[in-house]
Amino acid sequence: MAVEFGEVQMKFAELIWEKEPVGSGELVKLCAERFDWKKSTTYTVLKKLCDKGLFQNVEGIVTSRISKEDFYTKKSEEFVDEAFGGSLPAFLAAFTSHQQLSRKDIEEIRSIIDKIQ
Amino acid sequence: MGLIFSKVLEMSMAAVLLIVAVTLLRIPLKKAPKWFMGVLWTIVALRLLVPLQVESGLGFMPDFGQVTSLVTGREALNDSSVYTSEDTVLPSSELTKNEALADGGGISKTTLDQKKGTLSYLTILWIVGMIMAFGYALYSYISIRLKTRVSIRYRSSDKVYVCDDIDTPFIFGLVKPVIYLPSGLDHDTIVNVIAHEKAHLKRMDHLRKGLGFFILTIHWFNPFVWLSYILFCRDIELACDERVISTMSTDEKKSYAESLLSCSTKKRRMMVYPVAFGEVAVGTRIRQIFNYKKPTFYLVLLLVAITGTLATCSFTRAADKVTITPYKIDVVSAPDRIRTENVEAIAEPVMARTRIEEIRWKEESEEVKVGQQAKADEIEKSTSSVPSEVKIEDNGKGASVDVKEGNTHVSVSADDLNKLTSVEPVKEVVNVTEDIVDEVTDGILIDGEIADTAVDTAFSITTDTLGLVDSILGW
Repeated sequence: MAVEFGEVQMKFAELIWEKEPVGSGELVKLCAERFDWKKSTTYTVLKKLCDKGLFQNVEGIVTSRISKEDFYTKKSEEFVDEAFGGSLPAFLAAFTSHQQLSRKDIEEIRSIIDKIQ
Repeated sequence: MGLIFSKVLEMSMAAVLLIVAVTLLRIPLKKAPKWFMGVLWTIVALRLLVPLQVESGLGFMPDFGQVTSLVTGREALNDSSVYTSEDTVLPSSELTKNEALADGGGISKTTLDQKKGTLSYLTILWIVGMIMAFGYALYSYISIRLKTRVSIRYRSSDKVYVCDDIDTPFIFGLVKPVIYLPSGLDHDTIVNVIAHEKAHLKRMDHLRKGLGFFILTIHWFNPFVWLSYILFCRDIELACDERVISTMSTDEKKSYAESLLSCSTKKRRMMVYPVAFGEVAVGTRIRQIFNYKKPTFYLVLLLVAITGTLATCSFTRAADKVTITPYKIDVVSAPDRIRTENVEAIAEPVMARTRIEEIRWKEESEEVKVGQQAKADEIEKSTSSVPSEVKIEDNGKGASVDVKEGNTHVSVSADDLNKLTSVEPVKEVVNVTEDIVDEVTDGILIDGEIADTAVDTAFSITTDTLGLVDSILGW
């Protein structure tokens, strides 16, 4: 997924993930409420995201082709790949050097590692 | 439209000196508060928009109206009496009249046609340029409008929106300005950017810049106006930064400078409307952020003095200076400026000739002072306004003289009539006029000083004007 998504597109994507499957007319209404968008604006953005392969609009019903979880997993992988050469320890080291991990954080990470083992 | 164009041309020319002065002033004023440059650019903007020049001895600007009429031939176009006056100055000889028509009249008619052609050609060119500049602004406006359609509010703030398709923060809209942020900025940058853009809004910079672009559209043919627009945009950003950082601590300033840098690294196309964040001269701006000092009292005083001087000088023009133009007769035919004293002047043609030589010699050696120039101007008119027809009527009680010159009528009182009739060198008058016609045909300027009375009047009027202007300005 070498495609970039902007903040606005992500907000829109989140809305679809939250409401899917959703009729396109309903989506237009939702966007008018939340973002103050016109009908044409909503369709423009929807078409863009469909072209990027994130969603599909079949007979007026909008559904996702990539789930929210899959999307973020892929995104974080890409990030670690790009910034730390795919090394998770390097990423963790960089992350913890500035930010103190809370006890809760540490326990969560430990349980993840335990699961893998 | 042609008349509007020549007015614009006049303002454009008058503004050049001012622009040069303001541009040069930016160098010593580097350390001065940046909002002050806004004041100076306001004077420039007014000079480019207001077609007004007060005549005063304080001014050093020449009368650009006459210069532009040279280029556009405006006055020659509007005033047909110009050419009739040329042949009516030859009352005695029918032969010379015809010659004058053949030589002078013929030539000036073709030049008139040429000038008419040039004027309409230039006017059309000017309008085309304006349409193109306006078209570019419209194109920018529409493309930004389309891009910013897909945007969402930033944290339910009513004035700030986030947009994916832009790569720099800017303010968009003149009536209801909205701040647009590109997506993907970190929190610190967003805080700094919003502080900057809000300062822009408080300073009404979106309107100022809009006005600036409007002026640029009108004066697109003037490279000096382009220079001022570029520098003006730069100064707007510097002044805005100054306003934001004036209340910041050093740490906050550092963060602000970093935000500036991060916004400037991305490449982008130049847009007309938006008042952007990292738009211009980032290096200068970052240096400026750490150089900021509160201005001292004396500095403020100096700035006020500079403003006063520039504003006064640029809106006044030198009082009655002689303008050298081959279309001298244009000036002559202005009927309201011919005074009764001029008639006396005509009565002394021999003196006039010698004095003409004298003045010309003086002009060449650049010894004519402003006062004398004023006199010379006055006399210049009287020399050339030699009447074609002098009707003297004695109706018993008070005598009146009717002097006809083209469409000019001058009435003279009995006193003046006595002076006039006491001298009788009619032949000499003819000689002088022939000289004038010859010289005009050759395109040579004639200036002359003839009578002391005329000189005195001219001088006193100049002083009056000066006093009036002074009292208006409160100097």
